[in-house]
Amino acid sequence: MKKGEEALTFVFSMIFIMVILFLFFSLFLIDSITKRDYAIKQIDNGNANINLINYLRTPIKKDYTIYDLIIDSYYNEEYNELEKETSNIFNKIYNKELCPLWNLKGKVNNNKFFEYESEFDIRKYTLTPNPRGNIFLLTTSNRIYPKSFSLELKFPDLDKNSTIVLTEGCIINE
Amino acid sequence: MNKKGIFMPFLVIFILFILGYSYYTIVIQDSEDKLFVIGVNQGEILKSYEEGEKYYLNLKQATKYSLDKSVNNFTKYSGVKEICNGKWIFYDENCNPSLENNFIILFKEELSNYGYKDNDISIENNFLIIKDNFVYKNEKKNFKLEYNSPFAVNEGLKLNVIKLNNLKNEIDNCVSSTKEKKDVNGCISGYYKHEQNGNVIKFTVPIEKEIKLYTDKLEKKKLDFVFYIDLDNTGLKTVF
Repeated sequence: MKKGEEALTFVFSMIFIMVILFLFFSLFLIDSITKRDYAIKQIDNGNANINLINYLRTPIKKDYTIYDLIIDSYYNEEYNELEKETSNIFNKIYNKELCPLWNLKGKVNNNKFFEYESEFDIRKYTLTPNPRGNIFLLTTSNRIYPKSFSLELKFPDLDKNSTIVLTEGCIINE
Repeated sequence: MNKKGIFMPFLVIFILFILGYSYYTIVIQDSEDKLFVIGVNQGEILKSYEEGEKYYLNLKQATKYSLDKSVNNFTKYSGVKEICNGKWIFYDENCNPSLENNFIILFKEELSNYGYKDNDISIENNFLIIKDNFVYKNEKKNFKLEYNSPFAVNEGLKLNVIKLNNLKNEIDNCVSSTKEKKDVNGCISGYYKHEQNGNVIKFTVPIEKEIKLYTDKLEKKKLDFVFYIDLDNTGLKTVF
C-alpha cells in the first residue's frame, strides 16, 4: 500500500470510529433518558397489618383477647362489648388529625357480621364523582390515602371461613 | 497491505464489536429490568415477620378451641379410650391412665382439624406447650430471603393433670399395699371424692375452670372428671 493510500485509510477509519462512537453515545443517551424509571411503589406487606394483628391479640381480661371476644360475640349474637372495645382501641391507635379514617369489618362465609368505623365517614369522601361532594378535598390540599388489610380468622367451626378487614386512611400532604 | 495499513480497519471492527455487545447486554437484554421498584425487598422482610405473627396468632387461637374440645372428650372417656367405659386399668394397652399421653393424643387430633400437624407437643406443670418453627422463604433475582421463627405456644390446662396424677399414684400405692379389697376405700384420702359400690370405686374430680364449646351457640360447661376402679381388675400387682 502506498503512503497516500495508508493515510486515506487512516482518515476514513478515524471518521468511521467517530461516527460509531457518536452513534453509540447517542443510543446509550437516548436509552438512559427514555427508559430508565425509578419507582417508589407501595410496599406490599402481605395484606396484613401489624395494627390489625395487635388489635386481635389485645387482652381484655386474663387469657381473653379481642380475638376471643369476636368469636364469642358471633356465637352469642351480642356485639356491644366488641363495639366499645374496638372503638376504644382504634381511636387511640389512629390520631384523629393525621389518620381520621378507620373501618373494621368482619365477615363469615362472605356475610358481614360486624362493621365499625371512626366518626369520619368514608362514604362522604371516596368514590364520589362530583368534586363538590368531597368537601375535604375542596377546603384543603390534603388527600386521604386509604389502605386495606385483611386477615383470615380461625373459627371453632371448621365450615366457617372468616376474614377481618381493616381500612385505614391517613392524610397525605400534596 | 503492511501492518500499519490493516491496523485501523481492525481497530474499527473491534470497537464496533465491543460497543455492539455492550449495547446488547446493557440496553436490549436488560430492558426487562429497567423498572426499578424501590422497597420490594425490604417489604419482603416486613412481610415475613407479619406472616409469622399471623401464623402464631391463629395457632394460638386454634390451640384454645382444641384444648376445650379435648378436655370435653378426655372427661367423657375418663382419660382412657372409649372402649374402657370409664374404667382405669393400670398397664393395660387400652385403659392405662397415662394421662398426659392420652390427652396429647386427643389434642393432636383436634388441632390437626385446624390444619396444624406435626407439632412438638408436651405437658409440663399443667401447661400444654406446642413448639413450632415458622419458615418463610422467598427467592428473587439478587435477593434470597429465608426467615425462621421458632416459637412456643403455652396454654394452661383447664384440667388439673397434676392433681389427677397424684390421685393415680395414691390409688396405685393403696391397691398395691392393701390386703383386703374392702379396705381400699379406707386408704384413699378424703381429699378425693369417691364412693365404693361392691368392688367398683367411683372417683369424681371436679374441673375448676369452665370450658367453652361452640356449636350453634356458645356453651360454657363445668365438668366433673369421673372414672372407675374395678378392684377385680386394676391391672396392678396386689397382695390379695
